[in-house]
Amino acid sequence: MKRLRALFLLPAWAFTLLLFLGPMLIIVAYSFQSKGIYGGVVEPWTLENYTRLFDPLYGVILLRSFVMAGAATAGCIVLAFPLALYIARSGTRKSLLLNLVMLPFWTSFLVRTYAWMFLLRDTGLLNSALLALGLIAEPLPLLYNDWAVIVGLIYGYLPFAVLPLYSNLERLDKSLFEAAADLGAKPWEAILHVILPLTAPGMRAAGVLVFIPCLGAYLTPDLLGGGKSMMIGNLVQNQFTSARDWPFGSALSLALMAIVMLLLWALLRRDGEELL
Amino acid sequence: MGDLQLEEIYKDFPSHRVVDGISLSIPQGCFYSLLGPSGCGKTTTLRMIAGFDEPDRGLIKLGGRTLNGLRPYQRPVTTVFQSYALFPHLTAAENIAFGLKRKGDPDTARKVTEALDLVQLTTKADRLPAQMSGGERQRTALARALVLEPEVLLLDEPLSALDPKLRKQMRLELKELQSRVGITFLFITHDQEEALSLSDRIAVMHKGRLEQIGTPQEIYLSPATRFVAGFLGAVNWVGPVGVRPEMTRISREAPGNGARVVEATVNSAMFLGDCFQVETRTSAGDSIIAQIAHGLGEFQRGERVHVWWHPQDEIAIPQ
Amino acid sequence: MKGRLLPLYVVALYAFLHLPLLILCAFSFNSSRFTVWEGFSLVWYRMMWNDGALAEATWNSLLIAAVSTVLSTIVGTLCAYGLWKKNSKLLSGSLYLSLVTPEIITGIALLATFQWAFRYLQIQLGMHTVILAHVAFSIAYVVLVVMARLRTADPALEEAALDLGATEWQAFRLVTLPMLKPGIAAAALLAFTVSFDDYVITSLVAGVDSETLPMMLYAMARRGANPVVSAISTVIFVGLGMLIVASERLQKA
Repeated sequence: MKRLRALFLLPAWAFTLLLFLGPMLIIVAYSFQSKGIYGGVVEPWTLENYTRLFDPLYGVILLRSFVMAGAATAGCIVLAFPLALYIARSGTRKSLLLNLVMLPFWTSFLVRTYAWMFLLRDTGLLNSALLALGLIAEPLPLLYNDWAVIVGLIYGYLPFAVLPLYSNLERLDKSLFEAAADLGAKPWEAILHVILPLTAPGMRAAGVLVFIPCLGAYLTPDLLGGGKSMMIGNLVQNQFTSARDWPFGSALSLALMAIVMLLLWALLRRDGEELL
Repeated sequence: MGDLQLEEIYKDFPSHRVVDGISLSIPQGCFYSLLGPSGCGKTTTLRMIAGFDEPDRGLIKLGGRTLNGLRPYQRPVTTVFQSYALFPHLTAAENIAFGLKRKGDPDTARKVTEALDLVQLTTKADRLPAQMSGGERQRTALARALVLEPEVLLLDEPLSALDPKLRKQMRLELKELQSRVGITFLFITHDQEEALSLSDRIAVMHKGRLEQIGTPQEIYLSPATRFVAGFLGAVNWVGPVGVRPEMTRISREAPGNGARVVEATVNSAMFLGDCFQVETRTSAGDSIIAQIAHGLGEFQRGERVHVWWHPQDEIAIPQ
Repeated sequence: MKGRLLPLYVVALYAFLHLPLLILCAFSFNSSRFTVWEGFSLVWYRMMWNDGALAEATWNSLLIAAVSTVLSTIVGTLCAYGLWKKNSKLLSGSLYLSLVTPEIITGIALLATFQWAFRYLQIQLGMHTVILAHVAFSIAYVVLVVMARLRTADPALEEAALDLGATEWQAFRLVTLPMLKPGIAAAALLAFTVSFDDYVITSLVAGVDSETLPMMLYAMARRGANPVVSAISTVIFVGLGMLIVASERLQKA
């Protein structure tokens, strides 16, 4: 039995080592080296790439990434909670309603982002409609700003907030709500004092699961922010392509990875295996 | 063919010892029960005989041949699982044929037909497990294990998934089946009534050890330990002496000579349908419960009564 | 909140989720190139159909997705089974980590690795690197879906097979594998969609001969308003949507 299992795990180990853990180690090695004259990576070994992370030039982008990801996460949770509550109480239609949340998520991310470009650009549907109705004289600059990126992120990762909140709410005893009502709580009081405290684990899971992809987002700020609203992901891409500063790009990537792992670790430590 | 023998079997789990030095000899053709509460090590014992787990120490022998180290498919024993473990994508007949096909038995078709007939499932041969009732699933699992003509059939709580009425019916069928096929059945259960009614011999297990081995009567009437006495049925303990509630009598007048008598006060009386259950307290504070037939009078709370029994009904635990 | 407000809110949120895509699809049938409805037309679909470069990119995407799906489904299924028998925290942890790693990081790390290896191996970026990358990131999805199926399985089933004389390999092939079929099919469909849709990683590890449909879509989207992009989007949306619905069905089966 042991031999069969080892044989079965072998290909997955090979791919993981050669195409995930190995590449990560290469990035670690690059992050401690220097940029060559023609791009590339050369010795000497240095810590300079890490001290540059605190350069205000990049600090602004890091800070912006945190603020945007935080805003998108808050937006997702606020929007998702009532929906999750509704689905958790909708009996036989539960799986249909959940699938309706997931369906756009699984169809092409690129297409979904493009759909917002189509709505928001100067000649897009919203501006055309507002112009046609005579509400505005000039197209509003809806696309290529921070707000467009935040909307895009919320749109992209809303299901990551709905699912954990739903599974948490679904597990709650239905009679809790009735018990609260029985004891004189109005519906909003029951939600505030009974349901919300009991959904704290779902909130934490939703928060981490949305914040992680938002912080590392690349395509959304790239297409909807149009270079005006850069986030860490775009900075990383920039270092590996036009700036050709692979060592600094590697250090940036590892800083981002460290945050991702820290958040996951904190979530798993706190709420444990029940989330997996 | 031959007796199944366990010699000084030990098995440790990471947190504790599950099987603690068990030795058993199960005669060929015997209906043998391993009885004990959950967590007593009986299922682990079965899994070691089947070959799913290996003992840390000790030997498992069948007809003198050592089974230790053999893979489950190399052992002449088969198992009826608690969950039945019927293959969900195979029909009843295909489930039964599974083991024969592995052996490349040329007689597969005939043996499957006979096995289906043995458990009266001929008409359900093409049903998938999901399309069968609980009893049919149970019989399929039995047929699947028996068709390989094992030397020992291991049954891991095979009746526990059935509803009470069906369970009683299947108990009868199981007993009859065993006497017909004549192979050794090792039956694992936590239900003392099941063990008492089915078995030729019972081994009672507790915390990984054997408490007592004997016939159902011996175990019930002369339990070797307090645990065995209590596990097989309710017992009133009056000092070192025990007596079962159905052997205990109550009367207002003192009984005749030869009876053991205790004076007590009635604490509660409950109607159980087939009898009354009266709970009394002695002056020493012991609680004595008596089950008495209808028509032997009704007792009120607080009433002073004589509680008595015949000395031959006493359970005396050897020190 | 409980009365009429909540259902209203839910309807609004579903509109937010679905309307952008539905509007995009609707306008791909508009005869005008501007976002004013002028009548039904298939002109953009005809343009899409006649675009040779687009056809080539689509063919590349299908080929990459098909090959990487087959490989990742085999590797992932075997891996899930092995992990189910006995978990390896290092391997399952690495797989889960690869799922949450930002795509841009996976992409640049793979790019760096390929560049580094090719200095010694004398080969170039191309279809093969894209396929390797896709297999690498799809395995975790396959493991996740197959594992979910295995978790609901009765471990006694394999023991029963062994007990009835099957070897370990036979127990896997005759009992567990047939039981896993719907899960494996669902996992394969999912692997196909994530592979077919990927832009970020693909664009980094692709060579000159391996432009995919998402790469082309991206380039067209950046260039500005173009109803052909809407037409392509509609085809992708409908195609992948059907695969996902099929995958969901299979997972519930």
